[in-house]
Amino acid sequence: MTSPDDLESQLTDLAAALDLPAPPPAEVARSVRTRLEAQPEPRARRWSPRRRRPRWQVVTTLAALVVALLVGGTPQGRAAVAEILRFAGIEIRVGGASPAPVGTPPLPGQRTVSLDEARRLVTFPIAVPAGLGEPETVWVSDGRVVSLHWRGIRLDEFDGTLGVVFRKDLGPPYPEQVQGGWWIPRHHGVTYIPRTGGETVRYDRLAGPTLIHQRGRVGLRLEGVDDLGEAQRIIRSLR
Amino acid sequence: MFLRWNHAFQKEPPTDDDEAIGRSLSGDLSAYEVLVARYSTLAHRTATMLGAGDEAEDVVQEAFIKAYRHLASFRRESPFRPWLLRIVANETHNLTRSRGRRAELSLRLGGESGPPAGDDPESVALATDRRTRLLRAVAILSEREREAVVCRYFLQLSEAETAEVLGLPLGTVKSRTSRGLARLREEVARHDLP
Repeated sequence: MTSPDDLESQLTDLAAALDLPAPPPAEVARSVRTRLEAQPEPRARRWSPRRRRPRWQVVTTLAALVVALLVGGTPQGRAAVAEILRFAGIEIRVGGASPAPVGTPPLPGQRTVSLDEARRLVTFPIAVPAGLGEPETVWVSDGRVVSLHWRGIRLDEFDGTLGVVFRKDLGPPYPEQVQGGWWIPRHHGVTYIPRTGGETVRYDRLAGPTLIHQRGRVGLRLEGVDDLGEAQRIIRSLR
Repeated sequence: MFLRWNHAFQKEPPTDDDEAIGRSLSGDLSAYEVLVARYSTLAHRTATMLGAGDEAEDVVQEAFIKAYRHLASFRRESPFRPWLLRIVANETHNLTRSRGRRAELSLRLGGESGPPAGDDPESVALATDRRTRLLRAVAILSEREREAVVCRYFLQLSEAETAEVLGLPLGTVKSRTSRGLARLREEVARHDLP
């Protein structure tokens, strides 16, 4: 049945004619090396089976489940908050009124560091968009959020597997699901949930259009780029 | 001890996979870079062809990171290529599953990059048309059959390699491939009718 025939050579032929863009191998090798250097193997825990399970996958699945359950249309319980979406360490509540602007207060323990210092201070790999170049300012806050700044643009990176890091409140319509994340096209309130928990300490500010993305275990929020296409280009250029 | 020291100070790039793996295991990231560069294009082709789409780059990086972390579990006497591609295939599956939808095959025919199809414009056009139809037929195969066909003919892996990459018994690879080919034949024949 599968005797060598024309079809098999046609398939091989077809594969050679496919347009498969791939980045230059040396560039891939460098990126992988940078990531490995940023996060050396935790040798002591190598034997532990727990380590082998990539937690972010579980979280992604859970997030998808929450979205399915809540977006899937449960009419009950849509009081002040109509829908909750959890993705990559971010909880989005749609339906309530957007909170009043309160400026941009610092996050807990926020300090300015160099990019290299930031890489040493957090446990996840920090990616920098090649399209924007070296960030002008880098902050590390609460030991788990890294904020990279370029003129008018802010990229927050954090471990997206550790529960909710940011909460966003916005009015309808629902944020738009895009390749690998969500796009919130308008101004909305952001609340930072400190690592120590507790209801009382919250940091509100007013964020512009934001692209939320998950890259491996790292949650990302890109703010300050008004055009979705441009925002996605920046995210795609992360190295 | 001496061996390790020797490895760390070796300046020449590793020549074969086994040497690169040995040096990577002793913490030589330059040796691992050589390995990544060597398999990068194939890994991207695999991820894209198995349905990673635009996210092939992320999938491949993640796969190389995982491969490095699990390098100690790699059996040195067996070939590296299918072992690595299995990680790439798993990462691709995780991605498509996390997106909660069937892995889609979105591939494009390149402009002039294919092998020469003939000299005159008419036969070139005919060949392009035939390729387009065949690609469409591959895209609508069931995911199981498509994966087998993609590994065997697009990536040109052996049956044994395909079995390892997809984590399937050899017999299953054979039957899925032949079912896939039969379906492709039907599909192509249907369109060849006047």
